[in-house]
Amino acid sequence: MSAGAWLSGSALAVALTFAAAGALAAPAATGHASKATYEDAYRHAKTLAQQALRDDAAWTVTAPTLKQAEKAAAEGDYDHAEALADRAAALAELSMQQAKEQETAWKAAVLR
Amino acid sequence: MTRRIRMTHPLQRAVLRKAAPALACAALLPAIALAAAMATSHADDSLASSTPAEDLAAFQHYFKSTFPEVSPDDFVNGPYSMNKGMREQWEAIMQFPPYDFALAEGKKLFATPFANGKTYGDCFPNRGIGIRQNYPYFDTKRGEVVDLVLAVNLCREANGEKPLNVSKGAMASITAYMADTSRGKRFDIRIPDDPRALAAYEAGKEYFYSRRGQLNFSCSSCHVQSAGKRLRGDILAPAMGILASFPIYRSKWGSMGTIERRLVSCDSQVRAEPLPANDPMYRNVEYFLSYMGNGLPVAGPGARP
Repeated sequence: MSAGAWLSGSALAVALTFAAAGALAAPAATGHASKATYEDAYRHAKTLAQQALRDDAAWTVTAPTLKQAEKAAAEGDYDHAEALADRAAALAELSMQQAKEQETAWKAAVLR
Repeated sequence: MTRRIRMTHPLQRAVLRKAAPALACAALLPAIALAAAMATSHADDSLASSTPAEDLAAFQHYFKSTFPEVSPDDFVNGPYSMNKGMREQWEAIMQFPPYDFALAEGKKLFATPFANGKTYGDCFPNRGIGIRQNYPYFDTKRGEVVDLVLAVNLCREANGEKPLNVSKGAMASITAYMADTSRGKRFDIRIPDDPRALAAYEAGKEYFYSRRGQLNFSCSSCHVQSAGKRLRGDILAPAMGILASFPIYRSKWGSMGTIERRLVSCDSQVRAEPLPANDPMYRNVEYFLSYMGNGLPVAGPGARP
């Protein structure tokens, strides 16, 4: 097993650890969200989530985060809803970044 | 949101001369930028690709040299070959194998004629008895990997019957019976001289070694790099021979399940959105992993925690 296999996986693992840690904490609310800004954020996140699914790169945590955003918006908490939508977008982006990286990174893990 | 079943892998598409879709990435986040800065190298693109025979030799050498105390045939017993305490529990359980009911049901279903009077035996070589070790195979007419599960459904459809759920239930019972008639026979997975077969094998190999999901694990993360180690309360099975005992009765499921069922749950466990259970990519993974187990004995149906 080459060092490259560990390192390329480790680098993204660090990024994903940050993402996962952030996912456990409450999303940062700005206090400035409105229905319009939330809807923009939601549309953006939904587009990315659908792209990740089409590419077979999606994570199981992305769709539930979008659902949580919908729920918060339905309750009128646009601040929280927008923060959740932004998190869902970040998860979708990370999942596609992972898939892109793995197109080549996997080769270093092959037993030789 | 509809799911597209990916019929081809990028390597397969290249072989079939279809353009691969471009992946438009969104702006990178600071964490991703940090990861990019920290990464000393991605996989070296100059890494020479290896032949299936070379892969097989390296794969089996790795496990035999990492676990010299395990007799080669014992790898098919998964975690029980890795841990004495688990083995003792398993041997006690196997006084009354939990798959026995499914086995009896499978034998009955296998022999029950279809509405047109034919049976499963009419579809398979040697009437379907003692053939598990040859699956999966690359079907050059269909241009895809056919595993025993798909073969059973193709048989049903050819005889006017509806396909079975590929993950559990009657399918698991029928394939359990077929595996049992082959117990002890040596796996002999072939890769014919057909670029599509090699592409399918390579696609399965890539899937096996690719990290996925929010937990960023590949199949090899657990079953190569961490084989024999604990993951919470479980002992991780070695990848060598890992499919030999399927279909399995899994205590966690409280029922039987096929390879397809397990692959879906593995993807979910690392928080990767799984493919549909009957996706050709899962059969490609089975093709690669089964080839890596060539020479090992059929040990199915099996029982697992």
